[in-house]
Amino acid sequence: MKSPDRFFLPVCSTACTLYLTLTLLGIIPATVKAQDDYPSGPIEMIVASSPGSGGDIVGRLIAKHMAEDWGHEVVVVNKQGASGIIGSEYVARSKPDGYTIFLTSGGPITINPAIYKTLPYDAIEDFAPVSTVARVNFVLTVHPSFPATTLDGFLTELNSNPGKYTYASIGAGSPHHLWTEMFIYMTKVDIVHVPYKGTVPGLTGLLGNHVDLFFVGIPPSLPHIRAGKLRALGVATQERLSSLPDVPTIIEAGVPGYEVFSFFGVIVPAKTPEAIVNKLNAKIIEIINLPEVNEALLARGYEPGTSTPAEFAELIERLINNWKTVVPEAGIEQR
Amino acid sequence: MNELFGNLLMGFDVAAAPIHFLYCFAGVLLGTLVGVLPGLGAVTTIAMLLPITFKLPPTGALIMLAGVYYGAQYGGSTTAILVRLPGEAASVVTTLDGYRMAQQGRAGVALGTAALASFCAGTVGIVVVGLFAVPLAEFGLRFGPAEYFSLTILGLICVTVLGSGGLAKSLAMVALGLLFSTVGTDIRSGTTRFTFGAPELFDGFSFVAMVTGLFAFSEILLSLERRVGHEVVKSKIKRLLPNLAELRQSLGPVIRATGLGSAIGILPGGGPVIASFGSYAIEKKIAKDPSRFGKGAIEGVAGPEAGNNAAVQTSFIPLLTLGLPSNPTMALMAAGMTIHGIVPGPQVMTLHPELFWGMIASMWIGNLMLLVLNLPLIGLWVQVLRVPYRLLYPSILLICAVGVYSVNNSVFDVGVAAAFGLFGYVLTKLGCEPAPFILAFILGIIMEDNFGRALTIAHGDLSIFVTRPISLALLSLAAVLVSLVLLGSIRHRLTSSAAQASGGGKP
Amino acid sequence: MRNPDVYAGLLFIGFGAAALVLGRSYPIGTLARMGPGFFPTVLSVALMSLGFLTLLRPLWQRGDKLAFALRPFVALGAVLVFGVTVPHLGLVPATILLVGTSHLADSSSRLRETVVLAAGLTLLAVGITRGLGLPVPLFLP
Repeated sequence: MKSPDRFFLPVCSTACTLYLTLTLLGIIPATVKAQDDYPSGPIEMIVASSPGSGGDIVGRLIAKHMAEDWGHEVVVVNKQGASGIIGSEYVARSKPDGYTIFLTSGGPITINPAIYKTLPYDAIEDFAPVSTVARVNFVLTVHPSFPATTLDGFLTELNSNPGKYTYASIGAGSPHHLWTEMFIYMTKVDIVHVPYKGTVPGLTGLLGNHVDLFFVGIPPSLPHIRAGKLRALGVATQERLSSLPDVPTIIEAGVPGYEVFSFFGVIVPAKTPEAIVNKLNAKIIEIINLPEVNEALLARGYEPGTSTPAEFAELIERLINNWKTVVPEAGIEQR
Repeated sequence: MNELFGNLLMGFDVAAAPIHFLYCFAGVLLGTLVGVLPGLGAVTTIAMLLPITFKLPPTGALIMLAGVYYGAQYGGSTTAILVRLPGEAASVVTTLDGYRMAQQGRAGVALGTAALASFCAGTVGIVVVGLFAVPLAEFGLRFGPAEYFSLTILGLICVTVLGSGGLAKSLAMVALGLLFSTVGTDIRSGTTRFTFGAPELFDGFSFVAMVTGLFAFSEILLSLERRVGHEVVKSKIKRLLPNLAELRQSLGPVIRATGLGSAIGILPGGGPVIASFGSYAIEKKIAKDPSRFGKGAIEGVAGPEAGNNAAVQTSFIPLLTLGLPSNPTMALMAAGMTIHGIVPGPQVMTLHPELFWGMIASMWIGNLMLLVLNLPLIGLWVQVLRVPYRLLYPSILLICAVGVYSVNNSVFDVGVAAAFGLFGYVLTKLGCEPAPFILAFILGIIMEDNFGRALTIAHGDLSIFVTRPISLALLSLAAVLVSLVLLGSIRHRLTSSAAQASGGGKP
Repeated sequence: MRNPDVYAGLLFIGFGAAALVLGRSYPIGTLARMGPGFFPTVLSVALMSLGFLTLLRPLWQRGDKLAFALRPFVALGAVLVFGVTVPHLGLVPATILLVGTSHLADSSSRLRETVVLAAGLTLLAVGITRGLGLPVPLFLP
């Protein structure tokens, strides 16, 4: 019978000795990094959604320029899952040394606190905001065969057929769901919620006329609107958008105060030194203002926009409070 | 027709440009390698390649990414046959007979059949894409929740046919798979089910972890157990390629499966998987001697492989014509298009015809490259089986562990894989089969989702499933299949008891 | 009594019962608004019924007897060791530990071979992860 000790002990002790020696000799770098020469090594950018998603593309765009400018790798790591909880928790627990940054959307840090009873992180205490990056505007879309071509006609149609029409969302508790519930709250229409497992399935459902309307982000829906496969009835912004100049805002069409959006922004673990936060902020602003980045975002339907850390923090807090009121009012149960 | 030729010529012109040829080759090579490694499927690889495709010109970038995608399907079948590890969901069915063939020393034949079947089906699939892309896409849009639900019912019946342990056990495996598919967040209410508070389970079990554990790990446990006490004599490896008789046997399955796969591929989500076990079920049902299935029937490899590759080709249709990706890989390719300023959507075909037709042509070139690459490699792969098992199994364990871990950098997933390894082992010891379980798992997710959605849209009216024509057709087909299965089961019961009564069977 | 069908049946019944118990708080809802408990409940009941049918099967069909060995399970242990040590020790130590542990799962393993295998597989693991750009740390303090 072979005893396990005969194998483990020699190999393990050799490996450990080797490792210690190499570290002491400085061949494997020690892991402590100073802040004045930030960055002095590779940076990890966490994206809490899957590769190819909106956030992923935006993140990779920024990472590419950041890496070029700073001369260090900026690696995009996808930690998708659980509505962004997995990625958020990872960042919250990471070292606040500026080498882990989080490209997040609005969901994990402004919506999750309202729909989850408990979270393994605190959206305000565990993070330090750096800057917003882009805004995602929403548009109300219907299938071309819908019996209304203006928002007025749309509301009339809905009001004369309570409970008949259905709306798509990308899941219970998703921004789309919540924004539509807010619309319902403000207009008092009676429409039925049909959750889909993502934007593409939702759009497919609308394109096939299986569902009647969808408050959807501009980036995924723009090509279909432009091709005439979907009709845009109104945009949920303060002013008309350059990408859809003929589409009225929902506010001007008769629902005052209905302005909804989602955002992408960069945040870092709380307690990251202010100097590093400011450096990141400056770099991000610089990148977003590059013509090629600006145009890439605009072409895709995003609205580029940066902020100071303080402005971002204020936005986050405002949205969290907004959702904490809207969610119970809309009758959405906490998980 | 002339238009088609003109377009194809343009496409081949684009695809045969040396640089595109090179990208295609790089893509399929990488895809094959990656398909062989568990967990590191096409999605992860393409995600990793996205930054590189920033720098490549758009057509070239997409050609490469596409190559990775269908190359991975080839690689996935290879490991399914050699070590019972399906590299992709669509290769699960290949493990049933493919692995058995390998155990019988016919690994070369299995690998060769898989490659040839895939190539033939892929060629037809590509022609379908070229000819019928737009009408097929429009047809696909008519599939609403009710149709998807009925399709999954039909699929579940097919899955039940796969099993050979007796009807009750097969059905139980299906029910168990469906039950496991409910673990996670319920899309309609947002409630988390059976997750014990672990965020890693909020989106359900990691499919890669499940499959790796259920098939590869459990097989290692079983093999090690067989060896306890005595060295297992390895079957001598016979021929390396299928002979004429075997090719003839495969012809029918390939033709049928190609038709099935081409049609199903356009449906978003799960096309290749459904095509693979749909073909298996069909072949098993119409075979003269269905008991050969599960024991190394070549039709069980030829059909599914053809079906899944045909579906893989047609699964490009929604992306190329409507701008809607049918699965995560397509979503990445859509991202790739976006990065290059080509907004995926209905206008790609008209605004960028060289991209559309260039891709189609290069898909065929890619399939050809894969055939040419893989056939000679069979000799090499078969050598893997001659490695002494005591060296082979730690290697499999390691590659699988690395693969599963790296999908989400998750320790939890590794634990899930180990747990399912144990589960698969127990199931096999008890005479149940993991294949129906995992296939039902895949279908269960689609089924519940669409059942609920269909009913919500219909305001609770169950008749929606039979008033919509496509749904009605699918359900009727399912009913026919059920009666065939029951009739078969009854007849089997009658003949075996008749045989016993006449003294034919042993007491 | 060593008939596997009996155990299979019990397994099914067990899973069905467990699902019913664990899911007792999920509302079932109505057909129009299905609750999270709808499918799991239906499936649990179906599973338990099929479990009973399976239990009864040995009455008309004899199966093979059950037997198993314990040693192969060490292979699963090796996987777990890997999973647990990668985030704390890094890829290289985890690989070595996996190979070392799995060595014990088969009686015909030879120590010298295992050491060489460990080295080779470590190189392979590093090659795969670095080659595909996977962010798995090699060594961790």
